[in-house]
Amino acid sequence: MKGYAGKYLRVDLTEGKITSERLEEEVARKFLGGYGLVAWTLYNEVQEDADPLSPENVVCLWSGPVAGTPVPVSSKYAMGARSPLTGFIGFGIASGGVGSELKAAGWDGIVITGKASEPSYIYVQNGKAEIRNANHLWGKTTWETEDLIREELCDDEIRVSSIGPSGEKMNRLANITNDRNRQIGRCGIGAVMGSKNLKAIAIRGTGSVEVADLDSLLEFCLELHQRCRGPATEKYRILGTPANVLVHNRIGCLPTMNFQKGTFDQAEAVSGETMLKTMVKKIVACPACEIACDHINVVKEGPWKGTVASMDYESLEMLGPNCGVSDLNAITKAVELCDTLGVDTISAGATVSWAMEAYEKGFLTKEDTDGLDLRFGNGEALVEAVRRMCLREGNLGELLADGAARAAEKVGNGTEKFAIVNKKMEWGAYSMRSLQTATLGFATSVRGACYLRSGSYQVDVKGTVDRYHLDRSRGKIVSDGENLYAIIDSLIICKFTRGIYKSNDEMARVIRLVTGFDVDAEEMIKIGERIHNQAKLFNVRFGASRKDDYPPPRAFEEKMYDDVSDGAVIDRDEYEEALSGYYEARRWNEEGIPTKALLEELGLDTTLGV
Amino acid sequence: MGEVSIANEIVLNLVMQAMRWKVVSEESSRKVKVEFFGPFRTFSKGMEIELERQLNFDEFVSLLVNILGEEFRERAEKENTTFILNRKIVDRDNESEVVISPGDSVAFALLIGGG
Amino acid sequence: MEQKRIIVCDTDKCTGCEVCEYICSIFKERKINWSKARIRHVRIEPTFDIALACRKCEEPLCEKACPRDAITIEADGSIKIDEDKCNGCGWCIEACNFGALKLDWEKKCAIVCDFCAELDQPKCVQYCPFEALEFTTLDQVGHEAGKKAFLRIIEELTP
Repeated sequence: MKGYAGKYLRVDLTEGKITSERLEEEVARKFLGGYGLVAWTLYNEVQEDADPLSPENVVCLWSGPVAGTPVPVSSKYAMGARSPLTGFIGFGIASGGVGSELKAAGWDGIVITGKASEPSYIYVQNGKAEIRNANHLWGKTTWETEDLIREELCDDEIRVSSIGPSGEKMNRLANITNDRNRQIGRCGIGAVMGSKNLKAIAIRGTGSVEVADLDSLLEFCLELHQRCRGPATEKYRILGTPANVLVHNRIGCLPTMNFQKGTFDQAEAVSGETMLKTMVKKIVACPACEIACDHINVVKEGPWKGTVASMDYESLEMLGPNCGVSDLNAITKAVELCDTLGVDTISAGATVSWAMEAYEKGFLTKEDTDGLDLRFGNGEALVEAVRRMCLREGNLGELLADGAARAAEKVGNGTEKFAIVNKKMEWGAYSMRSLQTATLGFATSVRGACYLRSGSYQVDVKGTVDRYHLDRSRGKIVSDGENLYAIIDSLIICKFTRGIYKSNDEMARVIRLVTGFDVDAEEMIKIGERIHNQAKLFNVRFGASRKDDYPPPRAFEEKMYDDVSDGAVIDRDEYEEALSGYYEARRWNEEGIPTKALLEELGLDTTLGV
Repeated sequence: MGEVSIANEIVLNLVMQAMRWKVVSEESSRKVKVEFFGPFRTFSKGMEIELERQLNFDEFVSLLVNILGEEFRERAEKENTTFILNRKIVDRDNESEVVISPGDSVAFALLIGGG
Repeated sequence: MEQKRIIVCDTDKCTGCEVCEYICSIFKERKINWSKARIRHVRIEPTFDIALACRKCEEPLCEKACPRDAITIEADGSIKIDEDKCNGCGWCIEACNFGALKLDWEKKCAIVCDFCAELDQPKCVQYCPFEALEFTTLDQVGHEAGKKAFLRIIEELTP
């Protein structure tokens, strides 16, 4: 096989054993890599009774066939497990150098089972791997862990994916950080690593990456490199994704104060424009990236002077306007805590904002918050709340550590109504009621509230549809998006490069040149459909159905009340119609379960089909 | 007589104020608020311009070009530019149907998304 | 004296994308293997990036260090390594102050940037996405710095 290493590592942490397994070509052709292989692995290996934080859960890491090649922004990897936050398929995709390094080491993936008897880390090299003791790393931040492993192994070029204290404490929001600023952010995969006593995965590879047609691939890649410097990627390069702040604010889509409103009166203070002028020290890129979207902020004065953190739109928005906070210094500090101690910034923001609303409405007292005046807009309280949440410190830290849904369950009294979640995972920085196609995508996403599976927000922000209403046709928009994005997430290429491909056939061409698989655009989309259904089947095993595909009560029951989106709300009948339209487009039944006929057509196990 | 004349004066003042308000509000309803975001800020952060009548997208851009220079046209017409009219995001495929009227609020930005 | 051209990296523009390393290995070795690139990206967290290659030192320490006389200096100042004489001892790698040499464990000898002598121009320079690399002389680097400084003054003085 070309493109692939053709083998993967199987690590049994209980036995302390590592074996090499073949990646069969048939599997590679069916599931491609990345997200596809994560879904395939988890479906086959995580049984119905596997508690997410038990040794029975499986955590896996997969790169895709383009990792390590000069295809633009191809150094990515996916990690997944049964999510301790949602109970369904949990996974994330991160950039940095891990994906390409693994390929150079001669492996396509790592499948990890069991639990180590003491803190450990896995060290992968050319053609071999070992489990090493991590007692000296336990308790360290993710950045410290990377430095310490490089020092110990005498190699500055080792790539490290690690958890911080939050993952060690099995905080259900725990993330995994690599290359400082890159995260497997969502779904609490870090907690799964922590539950296995697995502190880190370190990788160093120096082999060559084989592709099917090097000359043609190089020629095509150089063309794609050029396009990466053009208008298709402009929005990522200059201001980066924080450019969204003012535009979302202008169109009433900036979640503010726990998704109550869509505009923030201090949006300018936390805008991408302001950030670039006052805080951005440098813009860096990941290996094989021609765009460079990573804006590194440095705090110049105040109590958090010297803080360095990478700021993207979601982190900025969820910890900023969504918490009513307008102090970029406080937000930067909160992001740094999340990246080093190890908690997802989006979930952190939405959990703290839930707590702020609960506090302001009197459901949480100063005793519950350990004395913090947890009001919207209080930047100092934000930073302290995030820190305690990461470390499970005190009443507040313990309450918030597992996310807004579980916190609201504990506190009760109707606070569940404003935990802005889907499948118990917190919503992202896209207003629910004023970007309704986005909401359909968020709520039907296999991993919980997230737009990355379908990118359905695009039709809302392009003005192609009426974003304040839904209809049956939106279902197909989400479904089509999912099939294409499943390919993007399996190859794995960066979503920011999607605009450089003039057609799906150009993307299929990448597959042909790298792997030699004779795939055209239509077949490629079919693979995407298969991958998405495989992930869905995992969820079906754990009881997912129509009931799990709704936005939270606020979307239906409360009207927005800001300058732009005043009065916006989701009409329940419209939503039901759109949801049914989505299931129809997906060729699932009315409960959102794939049919046996469809699964047969896609070459998937039909056991759970209807 | 003093009381009546004071009352008359008060009434006269009120009427004069009301007339000024009417003039001011008539003036503001002829204005269009224009905001710029992202790379458009190299031209201006925002402005208000007078509009005598409704304009279509091309005419509106031409009006702004008179103020901001010819480079603005190229920037505005790029396919990744987003144009916002009141609370509506204008679908660039249908931009010929867009009508900008006095009293509207518009904005220019780059196409957004992602996070 | 002819001006020696070397590859200079603008650290303000360098983003650490390592595309130069991919390009180098593909053009020089016909392999995708950035460990064999003759240009090396170095990052010092959090925001410092540079790509370094051979600097054509006036008094090359690598040539002096080589115990087997495998290293000679070309007319344009670039380093030539005789692959037959070289036994991969790595003494030149220790001698170089810039990490410009590497060991190719498959060829069992040292490798160094030759500025794409057999091609039209250094490929890393041609394909750096951020135009951070230049194939230029040290005199020119100095001259450009002077121009930039002067332009900055002009900008500040002109209203």
